[in-house]
Order: sequence, then structure tokens, then C-alpha cells
Amino acid sequence: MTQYVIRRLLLTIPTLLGVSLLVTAFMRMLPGDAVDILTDNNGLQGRDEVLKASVDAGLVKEGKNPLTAAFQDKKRIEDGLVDGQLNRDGFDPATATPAQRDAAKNSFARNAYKDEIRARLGLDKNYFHQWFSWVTHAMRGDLGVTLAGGRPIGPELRQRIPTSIELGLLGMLVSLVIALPVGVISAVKQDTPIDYVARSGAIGMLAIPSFFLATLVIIAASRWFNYSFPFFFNKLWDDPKKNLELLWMPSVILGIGLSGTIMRLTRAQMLEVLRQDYMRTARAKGLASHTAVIRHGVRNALIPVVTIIGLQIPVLVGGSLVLEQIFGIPGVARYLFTAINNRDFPVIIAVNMLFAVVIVFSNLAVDLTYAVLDPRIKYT
Amino acid sequence: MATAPVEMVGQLDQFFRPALPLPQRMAFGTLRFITRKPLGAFGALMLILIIVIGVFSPWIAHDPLTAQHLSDSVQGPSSKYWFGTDENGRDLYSRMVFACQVTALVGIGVVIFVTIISLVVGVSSGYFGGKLDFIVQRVVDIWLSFPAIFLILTLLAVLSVRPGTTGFFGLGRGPDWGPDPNGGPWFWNTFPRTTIVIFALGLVLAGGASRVVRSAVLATKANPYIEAATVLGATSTRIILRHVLPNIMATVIVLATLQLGFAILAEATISFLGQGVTNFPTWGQMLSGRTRDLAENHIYLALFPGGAIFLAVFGFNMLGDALRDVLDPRLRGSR
Amino acid sequence: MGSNYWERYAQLRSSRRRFIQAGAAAGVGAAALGLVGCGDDDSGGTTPAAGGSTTPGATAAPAVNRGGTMKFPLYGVSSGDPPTIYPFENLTYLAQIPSGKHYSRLLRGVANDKVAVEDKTVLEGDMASKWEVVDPTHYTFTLKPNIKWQNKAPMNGRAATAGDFVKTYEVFAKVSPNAAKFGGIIDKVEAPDEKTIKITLKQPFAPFLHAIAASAEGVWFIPVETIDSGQAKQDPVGTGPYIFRSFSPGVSIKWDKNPDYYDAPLPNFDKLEMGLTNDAQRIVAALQAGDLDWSALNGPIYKESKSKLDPKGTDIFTQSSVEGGIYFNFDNKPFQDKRVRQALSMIIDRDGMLKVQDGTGKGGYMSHQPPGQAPFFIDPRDPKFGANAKYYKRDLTAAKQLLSAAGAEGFSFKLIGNVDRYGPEAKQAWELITASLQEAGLKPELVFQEYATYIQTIFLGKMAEGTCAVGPFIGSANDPDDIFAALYWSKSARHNWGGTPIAEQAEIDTRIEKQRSILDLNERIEYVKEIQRFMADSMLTVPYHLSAGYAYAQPWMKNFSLKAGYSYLADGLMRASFDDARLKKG
Repeated sequence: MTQYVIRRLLLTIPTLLGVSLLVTAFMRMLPGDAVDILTDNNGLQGRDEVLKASVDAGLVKEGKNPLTAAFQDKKRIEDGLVDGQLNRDGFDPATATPAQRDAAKNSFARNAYKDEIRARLGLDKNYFHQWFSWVTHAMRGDLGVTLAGGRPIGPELRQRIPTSIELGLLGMLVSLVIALPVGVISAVKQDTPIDYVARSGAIGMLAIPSFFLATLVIIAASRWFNYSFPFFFNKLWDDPKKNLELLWMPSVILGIGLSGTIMRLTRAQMLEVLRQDYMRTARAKGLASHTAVIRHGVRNALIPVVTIIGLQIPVLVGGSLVLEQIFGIPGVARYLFTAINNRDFPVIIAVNMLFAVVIVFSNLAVDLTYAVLDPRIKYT
Repeated sequence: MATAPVEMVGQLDQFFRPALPLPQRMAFGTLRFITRKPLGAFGALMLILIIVIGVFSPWIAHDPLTAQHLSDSVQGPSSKYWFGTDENGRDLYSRMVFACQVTALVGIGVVIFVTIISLVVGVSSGYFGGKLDFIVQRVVDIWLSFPAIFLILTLLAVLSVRPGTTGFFGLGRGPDWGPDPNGGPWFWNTFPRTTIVIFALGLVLAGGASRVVRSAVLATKANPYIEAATVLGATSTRIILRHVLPNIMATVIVLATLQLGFAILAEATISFLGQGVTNFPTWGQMLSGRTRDLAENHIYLALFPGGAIFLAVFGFNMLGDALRDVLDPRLRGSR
Repeated sequence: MGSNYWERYAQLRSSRRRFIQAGAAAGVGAAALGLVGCGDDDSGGTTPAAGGSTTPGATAAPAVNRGGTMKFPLYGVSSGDPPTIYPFENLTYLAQIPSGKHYSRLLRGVANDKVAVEDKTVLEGDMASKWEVVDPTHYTFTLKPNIKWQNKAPMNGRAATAGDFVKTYEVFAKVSPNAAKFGGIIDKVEAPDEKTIKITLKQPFAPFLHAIAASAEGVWFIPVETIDSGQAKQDPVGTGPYIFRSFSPGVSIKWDKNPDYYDAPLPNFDKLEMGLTNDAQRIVAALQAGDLDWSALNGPIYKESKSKLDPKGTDIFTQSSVEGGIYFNFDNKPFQDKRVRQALSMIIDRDGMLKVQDGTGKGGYMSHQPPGQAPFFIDPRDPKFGANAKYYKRDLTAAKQLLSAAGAEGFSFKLIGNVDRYGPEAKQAWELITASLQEAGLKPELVFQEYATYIQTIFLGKMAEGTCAVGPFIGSANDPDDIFAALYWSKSARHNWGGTPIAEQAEIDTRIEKQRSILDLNERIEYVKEIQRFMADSMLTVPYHLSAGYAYAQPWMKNFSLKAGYSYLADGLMRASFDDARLKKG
């Protein structure tokens, strides 16, 4: 057993490294980068200024003073820059029309500015270099800063993680409150109308898209109750009442989505337990049916259910994004969503690693719980 | 017992009585399925309906794909516009009919994609075992460590075209490549986006599915007849094709049906977030955008597409459940 | 607010999108906010070049309530979060709007109901108490006597001097995305003494005062100490009316009143709380519930939200200075021919689209300037537009004639749009355009790209054969010259329409360069209008329509007025206040 735990723990290391490498590879493949977005709206009207600065830099490189350099020298360097750009754009400099040369000057100015920003942000390094530097920094607990705005990512995550956990836990709570009783009753009353309704209901809960439910809830609240969910988000420890005022509804919707799975699992486990010999013994002993169900059945059936809850964590992560978007909750999933849109590489990798760690370790915890609870399972 | 328990009624052999000729057997099986599993049959009906509506959508829809009646924008349901009109004055009914193409194509495409990938990965990993299994399972570990939403969003972007190229592995049609669609009524004219969505959703689902296939393969492998076949000198290919695959087929079919509902829900969600299929009507898309502004006073704008998603996913899950009971009672209740 | 008032307003016939949306639309936008003025009476009346002095403080309003926490939203399509709060790094309105609360600049727009909101040519001093045009290339600004940095480390209330400003400008000229624009105009910035700033231009530049000195994306007065230490990105210190307190992404930005503000006793509110959101519906709901004191809103949802909001509140209709339309690469065959472009413009059903999109009924056409550039803008429907107005009028027969003359009848092409940045209204507009082009027998296909891909495609002109793009092109326009220079001037780095020469380009360049040197405001207005008339023929881009936007202020907001530009709060809302009941609520 100890050996198994150690082996599993060791295996998490290549998994997490693999995740980080893969995220980096994805970043390489994503079209466009953060700099494109950072500079999307710059007022680069001053092409000539940018071009002049590059020419001056070229002169300095050749050891000439830009102020006193001959016009010929300047022209030669500028032509070189423009020819290079024409080549990159797929034109032949020798046969390029004046209009094409003019367009190349514009592209050059734009790219020169972007390259400068890339260099400033360290994005000019190759991706393996970026990955290596990210990993070494992350090991020391430094998650870096956002590309846009240079805000540190660590504190930002620390702000958002509690909110995500709160939403997840509340959602889980709601789903358990719905799923457990319904699942047990449905199993006890197997193949009765109650069972069919409960099972169809569970599948219905799985089938209703959370964004649709959220839309309907907001409309209904406003239309019939003249109520709107609070606009400003408050942290739980700042103002619990206002916090819950906003969070309760997304939690319920999240819980409804989860409850279908848990209810079905509870029912299946319960059915299995009810068929076990000890249940028959308990009933034969003369225990009232409901006492037997509760005392022996539910307890035994719940063990796997509890572990399965651990496996719902990735679902929670994904499912909360839509609700965070609609209700304006500053959670982790929304942070990632925005970062993907903005190509904010350090945020994307940090949040993904966070999720990966959570998923890997919750899987590990589930497996270990099984190992502890069910002696029949042998791990080597 | 006077009434057979549900799980016994649905045994495979009941459906395929050798005595009757095939058409009758099929008719008999279908009838039995409908009477015993009405909700499952409802799901099957939904599936057939969506495919049929999708295939014949240009004839079923009242309006051509892009028709708009600017003077009739945001009109409630009426005899002229069965489901009302949207913000551009487009007939909602027609758009929902066209959207069936997306639902059907994405749903079925994802299922086929997932089945192929999970079979290749799961069977090779489970059957050959050893080092290959170890390495493949570590890759699957990594695959499953991503939150699904990140994978989908990132893959959608990665698979999309970069300007001036024909896209990732030439898969996506750039604005400059491929057949000229002229905005025709067919969803496959938006071919690259479909492929991308199917690819992204499929890759995300395939990891988990391959695990299920692998464990089914492992269970089959433990049977003595596999060992016997090996001793008799049968090749691996032969054993996989003749013995392993037929044995895990029930698991695969049930898995596929359950993926169908998930795929459609996921497609709707990414459409709602403004990603995925963007240049063709989809149900998820109809719930986002201007609908969110207008829905409070024009609730039908949200109810029709939302209800369609709900009914489709509900039906497919019911179908999956029923098929599971019928084909693979072992899987009951686990999900 | 009598109906009379709005009738007069409506005569302006300017069109708009809601400024926030507009901002999102251009990624910069918000360059226009509402129209509080009584129209055109004043436009051109004051020539900023004439210099002047400021009248800070509460104007005629008798007893002004001071205090309370004013709550309002900041909206972005994918997220309301500013990508950065350091305005020299990014020109997006999301970064510039918050800057107006804690930073100052040399001049600001006048916000009262005598000046049209989008008229950026009427100015007052922000930090400057007066300014003087020595000659067309020399300007002198005298700073107000009591300008102090906010009492926060590391500045700790030290007096802010002209020398500080020069240092700030030097950093700006090195790092800002639009440094090249300023560098092309400004030769040097000097501080002869502590209170005087002398700016020398390279050549006369007519829009200098409002496009450069008062520019909302220009030289915010940021202490270089905080730039060097990186503090400006976390915890900005400035000289503005409010002191930055906190920024929680996804939630809000908060400010406290600056007690040492140089225009004391302004500002009127004690605290500001700006909620960050990507959901317009939540804004409407919050206004309905009284959680917000005012908000800019989307024109298309005007009717929808009208039924929910308190009718006693104030609506301020807004005009956008986002320029948008169909954008070409002239290497592409059919679009090389100007007859094709003219035909496209004549096919687009602007009136039909306005009817659907423009909830306020106050939207209108764009020319090659957006309506938000009043007083420089001329409406193509204006009889004074002249003969070229025909290219803006829907005429399918004429368009088909043009197309067949160009040999492009019923041609098929792709329109590239963006899916995630400009919001549902822009997407709707593009769908409408596509559909109206189909009505004329063309075969357009609308293709959506993600923003990061999209900007690489359209701004670099990488539109392949048979492809053009739709979109807002530029939103950061303080002056028509910004739009001309960025979009239609061949020397702009943004101008990348392929290597095929455009016949009219030389003439357009000449005219664009000429309007910069016309120092007389009225003469320049006429000349800019003339350029718009001239450009209607070549249709370098095909502008479409803009729906009007509006801002809604709750009934308890007093002296509520807005000004175009990112810093509208500093310019206009600084003088707003609560009524007694709202003040009691805190």
C-alpha cells in the first residue's frame, strides 16, 4: 500500500510536467499572440518616425552618427529594411511596385513596434525557453505577471480561488441535498412510478443546459418578482449576506446539473446493497424496512458515492464557467476564459496547472479512498 | 416470476431470435423496445427526427437560410412565423430547422470520432499491455488532467486557420481555400468549423472513453477462450477482430449513445459562449447575443431553442439508458 | 427634459452606438458620449486656439450636495476588466476610462448643456489655468497654482511641477503605443519654470489642442517615480480628483475623493465604485434595482430597458466616433474597381438596418467620418452633401449597372467578421449587411474569426483573393484627423491595402495633409466636410450605419452631464451630485 501511494505520487510529476509542456505547445499553435491584442488599437500613424528610429539604430550599429550620416547611407539602410519586409510579405523587391514598397513600409513600422514589445515582455525567446523559465519560477512559488498590465498572478489567484471553492462547495451541497434522498427512495421503490419519475427527472437535470436555466431564472426573477441579483460582488468574509445573495442561485443551478449524476449513482449503489445478504438478514431479523434501509443500506451505498463526488471536480470547474460569466462572479474559470481570449500565456499556464493539480490529486484521493474502504481491491 | 424484471426482458437474445427472418426480427425487436422502454424510444425518435429534419431542412424550413424580414423583427409566434422572428426579422422556426443540421452533424461526428479514437487507444493499450499500456495510460493521464473547457476553447482556436494558411494540418478552410459555398443552405458548406468543433469535442471526450474501452478489453482478455486462441497460434489481429471487438461492442454502443447527449450539450455551451460554429445557426447561439437583451419581453426567443436543446439531450440520455439496460446490463447505473 | 429639447437635438440627425459598446467595438472607443447640448448653436463658436481661462467649480447650481458613493459600471464585451490600469501601455478604453479618475492632463473638454457632447473642440484647462498660442508651432501652458500629487507614497502630496510633466512626456514618448503619433507632431516639450510648459511643434497642426493636449489617450500626468518602480501598474498616484483605492478584477475599481484636488471643492462625491461587467443585461437590472446611479447603455436595447427604468431619470443620447464598415485589400480583383465598392455601398440597406438596430430612433449614416466627429461630420443624407450622396442611397438598379459595368455581377466573396470582441450588436449589423448584399444577387459569406486572428487579418491587410472584412476600424478618435491618418492616409502603419495603386490616393493624401494646417476652425470644418464628400466617390472603405446609444442617469442624479472621451468623469461627472434622499443612503 505504501509502495502504491509512493508510486502514484511519483507518477503525478511526469503528468504535471506533461500538462505544462502541452499548454506551452498549445500556446505556440494559437493564432495571434498577446502582443497583437495589446497593440490592436495603437495609433501608429507615425510610420515615418518608426522607420527613422530603425534607420538610426542601423546607422549606430555601423558606427555612424545618425545626425551626421550621409543621406545615401540612410537611404541604403531604409531600402534594406523595406526589401526585407517585401521578402517576408512574399514579394520580389526587384520588381515591387511603389505602392507595394509603401505598403511594406507600413508593415515594417507595425512589426518593429510589436517586436519591441515582444522583447520587452520576453516573448521573443523560444517557447522551450519560456516553458523552462516558467517551471523554474513556479517551483519557487512565483507564477509571474500577466502580459497585459503586469499584474502578479499569484495574488490574483488567491483572490479568486476561495470564490470558486465556495461556488463549487455550495453547488455540491445542493446536489447532495437533492440527489441522496431521491436516489435512495428511487432504489427502494425500484420499478414503481416513483422510480421512473425520479430517474427521468435525474436525466432531465443532466439535460438542461445551465445557461438556459440561468437565463430563465433571471428573467423570471425580474419579471414576476421584480428582483435582480446584486450587481456588485462581495467576498464571503467581507459581507457574507451580500455574498450569498449573489451566489445562491448559481449554486443551485450548478447543483441541479450535478445532482443527476449523483442521484443515478446513489440509486445504482443502493440497489446493489439492497441485494446483499446482510440486508436480507437485517430485514429477517425483524428490523423495520426503513430502519434497515437507513442503518445498513444507505451507509454502505454512500461510500462509493462519496468517492465519486471527488471525480466531479473537473465537471465543477467546467460547469461553473458559464455561471460565472452570467452572474458576474470573479472565479478562476472566468480568469482562464478571459486569458485565452487575450492570449495571456502566463495566466493560461498558471490556471491550467492549478486545475491539473486539483484534478490529479482528487483522482489520487479517490483511488486511495477506494483502497482504504474496499479491502477487496489489491493495489501493487 | 410472473413479470420478468426489466433487465431480463432486454437481454440480447430476446431481440435476435434466430427462428424468424431478419425483417420480422427487427420489427419485433423494435416493437418490444418501444413497449418496454417508451422513453428510450422517445430518444430514438428524437434522434431520427433531428437527422431527418436536418437532411431535409431546406425544404422543411419556410425561409431560405439568410432571409430576413426587417419590417417584422421580433414578432411573437403567429401562423406566418410559427416560432416568431428574431432581432433581424428572421423566421425562428426556419433557423431552428437549419440548426438541426449542426446538432445532427456535430453529435454524430463526435460520437464516431470518439468511438474510433477510444477503440484504437483503448484496445491497443488494454490488449497489448506492458510498456505500451504504461506509456499510453500516462498520456491519457495528462489528457484527463486538463479541464475540459480549456481544452475545447484552446483546440477551437488552435484548429482554426491562421491568416494566409490553410489551417492546422490543412484541416480548416481558410477564407481562401476550399469549395465556394455561396452561403448555401447546407451546413457542410461551413465544413472547417464543423470539423474543428467535432475534433475539439471528440478529443476531449475520447480520453475518458478510452479508459472504459480499455477496462472492457481487460475483462474480455481474462476469458479462457482468448488464451486458447493464442495457444492455437491465432495472430493478435485475428484475436482482436474475432474475439475482443465483438465482446466489447455492447459497451461501445452504450458509451456512444451517452456521448451523443453530452456532445450536443457541449456544442450548445460553446456556441452560447460565442465560440464553435459561428457562421451557421445553432441552438446555443440563438440563446446568446441579442436574445439575452430581448428575452425578458420576448420569452419565446429563449424558450424555443432552449427547449430544443433540452428535449434532444434528454431524449439521447434516455436512449442511452434504455440501450444500456438492453445491451449491457452490467453497466447499469454507473455513469 | 422637455420633448422640445429632444426635438432640437434630433435635428442634428447624428447617429451613434452606445458609447460603451462603441468602445468595445473599436477596442478603444468610448470616444463619444452622449449629446447634452442644444445642438449646433455653439459649434464653432469658441475657437480653442484663442486661449482662455477656466471656470472650475460648481457653476450656477445653487446648493450642491457633496458626499456619497457614486456607483456606475464599466462594460466590455468579453470582460469589463481593464487589461491594465497603466494607460501608457494600452489604449483600450477599459484602461483609459479609469485613468481619468486619478490622473490629470493639460486640457479637458467642457461638459455642460451648452456644448454638444461630441464637440471636442471646446476646451477648458484641466491642469492648465491658461494657455497661449505663441505662433502656430509654439504653445505655452501655465499650470494652476496649487497642483499637488495625491497624498500617497511615494509622492506624499509633494507639489507637482512643469518639470515633472516634461519627465512624464519623455517616458510617454518612449513607451506609449501612440508615441509615434505624438512624436510626429511634437518637436519638444520644455519647462522654462515650475509653472510653465512650452511645447514646440514640428509643423503647424490644427487639431493640436484637442487631439494632443486634451487627448484622452495622451499624456496623462503620471509621476515617473511610480512608472520606474512599477507602482503605476498596481497602485497609481496622480493629481486627479480621486485617489485610487483598489482594483479587484472581475468586480470593481474603487476611489476616494482627493481632498487636495486643485479644483476643490470638487469633486462632489466622496467615493466612486466602478463595477466591471461583460453583461449589459445585468447593468439594466442593477439600474432597475437602484444599485447603480447611472450607466451608458446600448442603443439597440433602448426600448427594452425603457420599460424597466424609472421614467423620471435622464436619458442622454450618445454619438459614436467609431468608424466602421467594409474594408478591402486592393490586390483583390473585384474590389480594385471603385465601381464595385460604390455598388456595395449602394446595396447596403442602411435605413432597414437602422430600423431594426437603432432602438432610440436617433441613429444614422456614417460617412468616411463617424457622426461622433461633429462638428466635422457631414451626414450623407444632408442635402449639402452634394452629388456623391447618391453612393449612400440604396439603389439596387444603379448598383447592378455598376456591377455589370465592372464585370462583377453576382460575384461571390467572403466577409471576415469577428466573433468575440465587438458584441452582439456588431455581429447583428454584419449579418444584416450580408443579408442585404444577398438581396442584390451577390453571394457574400460571413466568416467569423477570433479576435487575435481577426486583427492579424484585417489590420495587416491579409485578406486573400475574394475576401474583404467588416468591422469597426478605429475608435480612438479625438479629431477627424485621427481617422483620416489611421485609415485613409497612405503613410499610416495601419494602412495596408495591398500593393495595387489607388487612383485617388495621391489626392486624398494631399487633402488629409492640408486639413491639418488649416488653423481657422470654421474653415477646417468646411474643408473636412469637403474631404468626406470627395471620398464618397472612391469608397476606400464602405461605411455603414451606427445606431445611437444613450446614457441613463437615475432621477436622483443632479447636474448630470457627460463629455465625449475616456475621461468623461473628470470632465463632466465631477460636477454631478446626489439629491438629499440618495445622499442619506450614503
